[in-house]
Amino acid sequence: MLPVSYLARRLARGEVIDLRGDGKAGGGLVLVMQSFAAALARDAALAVHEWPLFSSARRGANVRAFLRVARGQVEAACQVVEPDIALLMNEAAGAEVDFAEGTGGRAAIYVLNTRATPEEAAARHRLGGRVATVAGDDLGREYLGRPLGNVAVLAALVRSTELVEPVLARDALADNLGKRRIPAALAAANLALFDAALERVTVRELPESSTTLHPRAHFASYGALPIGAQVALRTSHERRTSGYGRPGVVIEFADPRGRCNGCSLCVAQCPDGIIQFTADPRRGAIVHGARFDTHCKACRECVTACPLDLFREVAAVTRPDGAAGET
Amino acid sequence: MESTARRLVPPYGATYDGSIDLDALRAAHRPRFLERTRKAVDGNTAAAIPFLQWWRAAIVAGFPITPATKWLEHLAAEVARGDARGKRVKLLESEHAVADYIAGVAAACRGLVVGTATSSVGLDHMTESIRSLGASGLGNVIVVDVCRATANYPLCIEGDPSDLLAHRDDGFIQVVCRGVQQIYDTLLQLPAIGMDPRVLTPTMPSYYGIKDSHRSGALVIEPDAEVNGFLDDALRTAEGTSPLVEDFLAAEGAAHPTPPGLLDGDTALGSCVTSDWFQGFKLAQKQRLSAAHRVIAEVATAFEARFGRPGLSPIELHGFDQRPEIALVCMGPDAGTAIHLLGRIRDQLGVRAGVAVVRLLTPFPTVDLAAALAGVHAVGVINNAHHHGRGHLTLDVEEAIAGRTAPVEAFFCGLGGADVSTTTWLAMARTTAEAAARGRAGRRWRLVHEGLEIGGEDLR
Repeated sequence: MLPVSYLARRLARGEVIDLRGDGKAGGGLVLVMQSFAAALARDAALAVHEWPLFSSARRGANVRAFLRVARGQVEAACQVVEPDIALLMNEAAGAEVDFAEGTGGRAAIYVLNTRATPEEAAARHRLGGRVATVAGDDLGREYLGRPLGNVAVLAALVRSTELVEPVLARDALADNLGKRRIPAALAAANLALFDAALERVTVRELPESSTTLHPRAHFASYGALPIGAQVALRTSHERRTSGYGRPGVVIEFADPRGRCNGCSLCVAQCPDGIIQFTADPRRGAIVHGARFDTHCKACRECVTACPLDLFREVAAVTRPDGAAGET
Repeated sequence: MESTARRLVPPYGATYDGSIDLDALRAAHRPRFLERTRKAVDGNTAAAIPFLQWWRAAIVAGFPITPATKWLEHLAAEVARGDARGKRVKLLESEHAVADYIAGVAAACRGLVVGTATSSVGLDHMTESIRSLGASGLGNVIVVDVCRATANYPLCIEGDPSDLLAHRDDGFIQVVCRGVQQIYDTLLQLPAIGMDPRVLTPTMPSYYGIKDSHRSGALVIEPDAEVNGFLDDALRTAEGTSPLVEDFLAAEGAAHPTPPGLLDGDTALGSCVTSDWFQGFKLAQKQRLSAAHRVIAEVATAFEARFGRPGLSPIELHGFDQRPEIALVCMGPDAGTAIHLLGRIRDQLGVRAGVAVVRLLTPFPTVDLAAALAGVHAVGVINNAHHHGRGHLTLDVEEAIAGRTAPVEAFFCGLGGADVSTTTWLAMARTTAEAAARGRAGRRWRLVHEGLEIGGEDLR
C-alpha cells in the first residue's frame, strides 16, 4: 500500500517522477498534461517537462503524452517507458495499447477515465497499486453536453498523486482554457466540472502480484518495410496519401459474405500499411480489416482500389468512448 | 523612400536612417512583462515572447508550418487580444514571400529586429532569399528554424535537424537550443550578435520540432525594460567597432584590393556584381561570420552579468571536470538524456564520460571543441539527420581533432525525431569505450535504436 504523498517524498529525495498518458486524438489529453505541468511548475523548486508524442494523427487515432518532474533540473529527454503514473484517458485506446506497459516492478499509480470501479478497472487491465477511476465522459455530458472526460481526469490525477493542491490545478486549468480562447461560459462549465470531479474520483490501494507486472516490449527490428511505399504514392488514385488525416470521415471494411478475392490491391495501395490480412497460398491476401482507428488518415486509396467495394467512407462522430465511429 | 536620408557608411552601406522613426517606435512600445515572471510555456512560445518584448520588433511575418505554427499563432493571438499594441503580424501566402518580406523590412531599417519562424520544407521554400540574406549584412534578421526532417520520404513532421544542416552554408549564424529557457535566452542574445558591426550576419536559432517545440517547461521571462536595455546597450557598445575584415586586411598588409564588403541594404534584394567583386563579397561574408566567435563571447558575458544566467556558449560541457576518458558529442534535446546518464555510464561501464553539446553549429566552434576533447581517448559523435557518410557533425568533429590519435565512432540515431532512449545512449557509450580500448573505430558508421545496432557500414 502506498503511503499518502509518497510521490512528494520521492521528489524530496531527488528522484525523477515519470508520467505517461494514453488517449485518442481530439480527446483533450494535452490539456490535462499541460494543466498538470503548469500546476507543478508553480513550485519554483520543481522542474517539469511535458510533451506529446505528436504525429499526423487524425481525430480518433491513439495519442500519447509524457510528463517528467523532479526537484532542481530535468535533463532526461527520452520518452517515458517505465512510468510511475500511467493515465488512460480513453478506454478505446486501452483496448489497443497496454497503457500500463513498463509498470509493475515498483509502486505505480494508475488513473483511468471509466465508469468502472478501481477494482473492476484493475481486473480488466491487470493493475496493482493505487488505482483511481472517474466517470469522466459522464461528467462531460453533464456539464459540457459532450462526452469529454479530460478535465475529470485532471481532477483524478490531482487527487491520486497528491503532488499539487487542487486550487493550483484549477488555476492552471483556467489559464490553459484561456490560452485556447475558450468562451467564458464554456470555461466556467469546465471549471465546475473539475470541482465536481474532485468529489467523484474513487481511489483504491489494490494488491500487487506477479499478474500485475507489465514488462516493457523491447524493440527487435523494423523488419521488412514496404519498399513499395513510394510506388504507392506515385500511383495514388486519390492524391491524399501524403497529407494529414481528413477530419469528419472514417473508412470501414465489411465483408460478411467472405467475398475478398485476395487481389491485395488495397494492401499495396495503403500508404500506412495497416490493412490486415491472412496469406492464403491459393487465394492470396484475404483481407479481414484494417487498423483504421489507429493510423488511417482516410486517404481513400483502399476504397478506390478494391474491385469488390468492400471498403467505404462514412461520416465520423465521436463515440461515447472517444473513438471515431460511424454516424 | 525619397525623403529618407540615405547615409553611406563604408563598409556597412546605407542605413536609410529616418525610414522609420525609431524613437517614436521605442516610445510606443507597451511592455508585455513589467517584472521577472515564471510561466510554463512550450518551446514555440518561448521563441515568440522576445518578439513581443523587443521594441525593435515592430513587424513579424510568417506562414504556418508544423511544428513551427504555434510561434506565429502565439504572436497573432497576443496582437489580436491587444496585448501587443503597435505590433503587426503579417501572414503571407507562402514561405518564399515571407523571406522576401523580412528582407525588405530589415533592409529598410537596420534598427529593427525582423523575424519569422519556419520549419523543414518551409525553410527550403525560403532558400533563394535566405541565401541572399546570408550575405546581405542584415544582422537584424532572425529566422527561427523549428527542426523537422526535410525534403525526404516518407513525410515526417517530427524533429530532425536535416533542415538546419541542409542550410548550413546559407550564411546564417546557426545556434541549436534545447529547453525553453535556453531557447528564450538565446533569442535575447542573437540580435546583439548579429547586429554587431563586426558581424552583421543574420541569425538562425533552432530547436527540435515536437521534442522541444511542443515540450512545456517553466520559463523565467525577464522584464521588457531589461530585455530592451540589454540589446540597446550591446548595440551602443558595439557602435563604431572596427569590422574584422579591415583588421584582416591590415594584417595582410592590404595587399588585396579593398573588398567591397556590403554595398548597402539593397544587397539582400538582388544587387548584381561582376565576378571579381563577388569574391570580395564572399571574403567579407566569411570574415564577418568568423568574427561571431569573438562577439558571442562578449555578448554572453554581458548577458550573464545582467540576467544571472549563463550566456550563449558555443559548446555545453558536462562531466569534463572529471577528466573523461570518452566524450559523446551531440546536439539537441536528446543530449539531456546523455547528461542524465553520466553517473550510470560510469557505474555500469566503468568509464568516465563527458558530454559535449554543440550549441553554435555555424560557424562551428572548432577551437573550443578541440580544446575540450584534448584529453579523451575516444569520441562518439551522435548524428540525428540523414547524411551520405559518417554524419554532418562527425565531419566537423573530425576536422576539429584532426591529427589526434583518439578514434571517432560515428552514430546515427533519432532520425525523423525517433526517441533516443537510455539504452541507446548506453550502447553508444559502450561502443565508444571499446574504441578507446582498441585505439581505433570499429565501423565507419552505425545506426542505433533502442540499444540495438540496426545498421552500419564496415571500415574499408
